[in-house]
Amino acid sequence: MRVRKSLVKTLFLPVILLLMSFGCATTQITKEPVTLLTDDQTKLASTYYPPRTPNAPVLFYCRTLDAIESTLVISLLNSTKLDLVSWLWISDIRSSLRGREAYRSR
Amino acid sequence: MDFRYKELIARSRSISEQISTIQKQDLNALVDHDMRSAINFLSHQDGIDPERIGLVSTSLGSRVGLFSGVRYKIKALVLISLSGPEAFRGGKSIKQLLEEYGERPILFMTSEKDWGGNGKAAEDNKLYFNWAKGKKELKIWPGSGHGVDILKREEASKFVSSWLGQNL
Repeated sequence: MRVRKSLVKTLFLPVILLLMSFGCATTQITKEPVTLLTDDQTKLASTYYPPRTPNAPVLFYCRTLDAIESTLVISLLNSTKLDLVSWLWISDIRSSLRGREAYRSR
Repeated sequence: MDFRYKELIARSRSISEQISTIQKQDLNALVDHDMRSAINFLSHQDGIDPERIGLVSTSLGSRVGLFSGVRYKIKALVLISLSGPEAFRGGKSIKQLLEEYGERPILFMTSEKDWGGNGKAAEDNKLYFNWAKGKKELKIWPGSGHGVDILKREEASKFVSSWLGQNL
């Protein structure tokens, strides 16, 4: 019995560490900062998540998602059905709104 | 956060005035330039299938999203908290745009008491759902979340990912 308890103790920590590292591996997502230059010379700071496999479906977001990045990106990219997702969102698409149009209504 | 944008919002005296101010902006530049360059960027990346581009958009962005869905090759469209005046400033109506979007899949998402669009987003979205022509779905969550706030709910983001999985 003592041997069995000792064995459990000995194995417990490595197993937990293994599970933790596996968990980290499944939620690790590569992203790249991208600056888009529009044809009217506006610069848009963006974040791009490269595809994890070829011919991935692409998900594109047209407003800031910074606040929910961790929740939504991990949920989407680790979803079984959307394992092949890559996507991009414009993190400051509003800059062009404010720069060109924001004062029009005054 | 941009200071000029913040200033514009700060000058509004109430949330409804803030919404009204934002909705008065001309969205054409966002569709013509920003979305175009982003879709162009995506379409030229290694491993990307340009025939399978989906678009998720929230709040004011859902108007940009709907315009872009009509203008560009978007395979599936998610509009979260689309609301407000039916006609776009200087442009087409939501009904017209949904007709032009055609048979492609579209998901409308809002909350029961979505504070956008004068608190009528849920009613409005039922109307938009009826106007949509092709494969369509309407999801109204309980509570009063709006736009990105709705996506903060784990079940909502899972719903979106599942829907995209079926339609992209």
